[in-house]
Amino acid sequence: MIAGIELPESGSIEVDGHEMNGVAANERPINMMFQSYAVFPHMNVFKNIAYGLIKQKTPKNLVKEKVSEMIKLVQLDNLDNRMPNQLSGGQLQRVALGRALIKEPKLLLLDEPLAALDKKLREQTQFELINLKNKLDTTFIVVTHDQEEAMTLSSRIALMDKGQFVQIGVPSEIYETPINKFAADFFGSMNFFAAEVISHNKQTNEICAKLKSSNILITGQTKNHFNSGDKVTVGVRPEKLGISTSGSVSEKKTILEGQIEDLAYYGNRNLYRIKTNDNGVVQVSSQNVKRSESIHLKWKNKVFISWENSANVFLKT
Amino acid sequence: MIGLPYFWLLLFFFIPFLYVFQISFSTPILAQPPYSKILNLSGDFSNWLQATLDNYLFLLEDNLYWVSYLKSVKVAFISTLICLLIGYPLAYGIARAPRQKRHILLMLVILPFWSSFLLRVYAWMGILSKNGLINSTLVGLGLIDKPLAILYTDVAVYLGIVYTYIPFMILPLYASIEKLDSSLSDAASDLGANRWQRFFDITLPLTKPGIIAGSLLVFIPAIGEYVIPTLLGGIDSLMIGRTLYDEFFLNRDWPLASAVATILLLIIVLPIMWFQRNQQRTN
Repeated sequence: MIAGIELPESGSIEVDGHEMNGVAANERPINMMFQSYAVFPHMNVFKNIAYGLIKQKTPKNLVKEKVSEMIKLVQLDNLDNRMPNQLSGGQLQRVALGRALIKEPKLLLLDEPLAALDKKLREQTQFELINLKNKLDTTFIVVTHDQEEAMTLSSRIALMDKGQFVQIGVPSEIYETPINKFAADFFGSMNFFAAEVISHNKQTNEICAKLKSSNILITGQTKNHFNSGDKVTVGVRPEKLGISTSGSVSEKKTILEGQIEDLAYYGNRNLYRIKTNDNGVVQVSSQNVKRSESIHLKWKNKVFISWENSANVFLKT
Repeated sequence: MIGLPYFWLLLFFFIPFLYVFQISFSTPILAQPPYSKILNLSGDFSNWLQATLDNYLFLLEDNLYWVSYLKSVKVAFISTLICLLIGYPLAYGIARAPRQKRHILLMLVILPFWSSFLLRVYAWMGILSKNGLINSTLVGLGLIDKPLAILYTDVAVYLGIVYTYIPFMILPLYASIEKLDSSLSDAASDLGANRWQRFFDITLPLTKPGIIAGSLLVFIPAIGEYVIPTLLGGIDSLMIGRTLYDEFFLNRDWPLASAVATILLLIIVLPIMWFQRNQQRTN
């Protein structure tokens, strides 16, 4: 709809204050990079990138100049005459990018730009995309289902579910203060506990709730509005949980007791699945700070999980 | 297993061709079969080869053969062009139709093959003749005073050839249009190309293999077509297929007919070789 391939049933789309409804796809200041790249297979790199300019009836010498510049920018030097079937996946992606940027659009749409690349290349290309964006005066809209890609590429994220916006904000905002369970679960993983609100101070935003399974009281801050007696879901990110074999009680912390049910070694971190005494399952991710060959926590070990009150996220159910 | 296609080609193409080819160097005689042997191994060893180029020289001398070759090439070429102009939009329409409808539409293209070819040509005679369907309708509507002469003209020949061979054009075109990635066209549109530019920049060049394949499948059988010009064409619609038939069966001049066939084969093989080279270059 933004590119003009499909038309909206209601509402309007504006670019830089200009209404876009009624402007044909080929006349919008918007270009798109397709998921399949859609590089024209019968044209070489130069002709692919030049296509948009030629359709604009740009003078020949200007086309040559601009395309050469673009070829440098997307790092395809000396590949002008290659045909698409002679290029690698990463090079094709850059041809598609160069072709979409050649008309200097106000807005560039990227549909899953990195989905077709392998993991290493994807990470590298992510940084190249950010660098490129910073060099140009173009807004990038990236469509992706990869949460990591969304986090690293964007300055603002609009999270969508079933055609509706769930939350719009900067990456850290969505990660740290997700608006609901979907948003919380989409970016990273999260442990959820069912609880009941005891009190909510609307001036200080302080909230106190009781976990349903264990009757433990937990406190925290929230901007969502609750009344006492409301059902609430408390979410805690796995990396915010601490794990130890001995527990010490503190007012600022919540502590649960349990038994290690599963553990996974990722190299840079360990992931534990812990069955708590009230029969819930909690995931804990702990960074592998010290270098040691053996994991001192073993399967079936009794452990204490603790986390700071500030880690609690209160979500409407 | 790799040798199998070559074996096939040898058995069903090359050996029969060699047989015809050697007859074209012999002289006609009143015998069974009606041509002289070109290898004489029993007699004097110095003149064991009794081949002659007379048949080819005769082809050059007599206007009749050149005229019918040229006429055949012209008819085949124009028919191919008409098939392409009608077939491309049809194939495009079928390829872009909803998936469930495509099978029905393709079936409609192939359906005429389920009835006899001769029967269909006779049906055209009925439609085109002086008191046929077209003329009686036009006269009945008062659009013309007396029936148009369509049957036994070149128009009828073109009509018959286009009608008969258009499925051979549509099917390869359909195959190449159908597998065309529609996002290429969307990308061109996004970069500022209008409807026609998209067609000429993207769709047409990328369906070239289908266009070439379809054109060859129409051109090759059309050039040697015998039945359609004989039944629908007039006296002057003299195509090479007819000439070939007459030489073989009316004049019983097998050597000359073989020479005609050899030259015809050359005319057909050349475009195929051009096509093959073209294919190899694009791959």
